[in-house]
Amino acid sequence: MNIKILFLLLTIMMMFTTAVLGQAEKREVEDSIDRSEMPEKALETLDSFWPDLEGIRYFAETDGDTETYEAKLEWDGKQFSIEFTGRGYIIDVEQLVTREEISSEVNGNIDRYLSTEFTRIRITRLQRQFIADDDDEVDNIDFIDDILESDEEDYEVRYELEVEGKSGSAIGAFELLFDHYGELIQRRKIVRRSLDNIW
Amino acid sequence: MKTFFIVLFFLLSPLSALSQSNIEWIWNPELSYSKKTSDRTTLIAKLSVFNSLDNITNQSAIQFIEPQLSASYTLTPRWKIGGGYYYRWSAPLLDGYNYEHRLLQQAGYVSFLGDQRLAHRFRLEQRIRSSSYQNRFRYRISFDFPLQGERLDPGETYLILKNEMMTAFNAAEADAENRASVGLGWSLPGSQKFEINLQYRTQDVFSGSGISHLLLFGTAFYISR
Repeated sequence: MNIKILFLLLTIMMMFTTAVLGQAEKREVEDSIDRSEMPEKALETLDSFWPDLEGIRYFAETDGDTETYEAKLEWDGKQFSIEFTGRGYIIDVEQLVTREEISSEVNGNIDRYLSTEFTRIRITRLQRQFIADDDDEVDNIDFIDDILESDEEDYEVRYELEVEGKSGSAIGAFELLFDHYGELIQRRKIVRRSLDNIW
Repeated sequence: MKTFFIVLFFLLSPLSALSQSNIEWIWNPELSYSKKTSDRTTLIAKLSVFNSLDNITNQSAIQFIEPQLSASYTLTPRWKIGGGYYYRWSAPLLDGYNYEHRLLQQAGYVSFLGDQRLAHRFRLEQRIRSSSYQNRFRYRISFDFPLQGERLDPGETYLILKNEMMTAFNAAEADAENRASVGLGWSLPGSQKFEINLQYRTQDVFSGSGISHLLLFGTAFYISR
């Protein structure tokens, strides 16, 4: 093999890479954005409750058809994530919690599910979700007021767990969604990025 | 975008030092194909080439060509073990080229914080060369994270930092080396990615003739299925 042929092969390899870089397809994309890119109504809501709060991070997510927005903030020692529609109406609020912050009844039901379905389990993340009504135009102020006052009649609570473990022949990370009684609603395996560049 | 330019600065700044030193300068293109054959097992085939940019116009330009085959087994969601075989064809353009058969055994531990990943890799190698034999132990720590948002989506960039320490411990060739690198990667559609990186190697640490230095510019394309 002479040097010219080898460099030709390497050049083709690089061109192939460039061609792939240029490909486009429909996909979900989440991006960090500036405050000014958030819907105005969402900002009004945030400013009403946390006018002087610093360190709020903003994100936009799109699947090509619909766009949603998210604000992540820490308040009163707790981490909240508030998701808005493109018009700034709240879809849901998520709060990072510990097992101790959940009632013993719910914990018991979750534990029963985990011990039945998993071995060698590790809970890596637990969030309490506050789901707004199906109404397209939620009253943002009332909704957050209800959450902060723990007025549970006016919203639906769910719990989202991220766990690592072994379940049957499946091994890896899973996302589990439980209702307010601790009964499983949904389970899915989290597809992680390939480790080929760090393994 | 600001982060991108900071990374670019750190990637390119050693170039100015290069002209003032006798550091060896290498371009290392790599092509990797990995196939997940079950929930626990993955096979990886990789081709790595070392090109000396100091000798780009002569027959010493290609220092070696190295096809690599390896496999991994997932023990737990965080621990993996594996092994492989590499063949190194040194100085392929020169008469009387040398070869190396390399066997390796490794274990890795990865922790995740969202899409940020911290990985530890422990590796044992047996290097069977045409002229000698060497045992080597390597430890590498790697950290990568997305630069746009908290999740790495196709088309987005990530930063990858690595440092690897290694020692050859058989009596005849005892030595040590450190490899520090910073890289920028692009996540591409279809579970593919492209990385550029700059690696600084401090070699022959225990050698009587002094430490040698090597700057390696790497380009790597990964396909995973």
